[in-house]
Amino acid sequence: MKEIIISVATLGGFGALFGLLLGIFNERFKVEENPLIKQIYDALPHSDCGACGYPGCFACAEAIAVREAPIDACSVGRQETAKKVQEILDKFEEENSNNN
Amino acid sequence: MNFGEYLVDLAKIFVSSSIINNIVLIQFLGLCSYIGLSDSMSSSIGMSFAVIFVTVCSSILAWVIDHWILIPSNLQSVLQITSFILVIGSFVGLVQIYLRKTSPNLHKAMGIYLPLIATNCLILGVTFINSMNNYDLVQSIVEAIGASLGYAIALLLLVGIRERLRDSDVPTFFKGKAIAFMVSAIMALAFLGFQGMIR
Repeated sequence: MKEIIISVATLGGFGALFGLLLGIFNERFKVEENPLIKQIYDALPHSDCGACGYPGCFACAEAIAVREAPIDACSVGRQETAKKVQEILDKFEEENSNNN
Repeated sequence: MNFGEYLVDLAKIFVSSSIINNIVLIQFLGLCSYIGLSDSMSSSIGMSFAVIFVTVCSSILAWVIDHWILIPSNLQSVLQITSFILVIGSFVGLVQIYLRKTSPNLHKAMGIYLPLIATNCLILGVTFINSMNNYDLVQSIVEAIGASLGYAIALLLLVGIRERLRDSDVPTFFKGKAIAFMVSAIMALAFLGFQGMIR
């Protein structure tokens, strides 16, 4: 029983400590990201399968946001995802033209 | 053991871990990022520094956990892997956050290999070598610096060779990573020549 308590206390303690440290570090070194990437990422299926040729859905969203990849790059989401991405991009472009 | 002998011992550990028992070419640890990142100079230099930082920091903390908690409580065999991986993963997280802020291009060039340092067998291997040889704290740090510098040496050598290979006439079957593996095998043979320098 003693071993279990020591294990839980050690790993739990270090886990909590590192979690706190990483959280603080993340806040201090925050990067402002393009909001468009976040929106496209939300529309993708989040399966991180890599079928599009990018390492994970986030990288795919970045590529779509800079028009490096086509809107139907995600073969898992098929037409529905492509439609959603198209809507997001249209909305984004509309807002941009209004601002200019 | 007096102080002079101790310093000689440290020098032996350093030379042994960086060159004679080179972590990549002799012990075959950390090969995934070694092959994966060796096609561009800038990303491999960044990777070398990241690996040096993570290895040294995590071997210090792993030594502390090993000697202050795991050995006194007799839990070394059960908790060692888990707690070492926890420490390594946290330091990799720190490096990743820092790089994303300070040099986004490098972060992008390193891609998936940066988070994969967490599961890079090199760093876990160094902490286990320290633990198995019963090194004290200073010896562990020297071993960690030596091993990660050895990784950097092997990586930078391979980058140099691969940059020249890109312009040379390689048979179609061997283009890219296949020839990189062959080159590393020949480099490993060359490094075998250092065996027996220190006993």
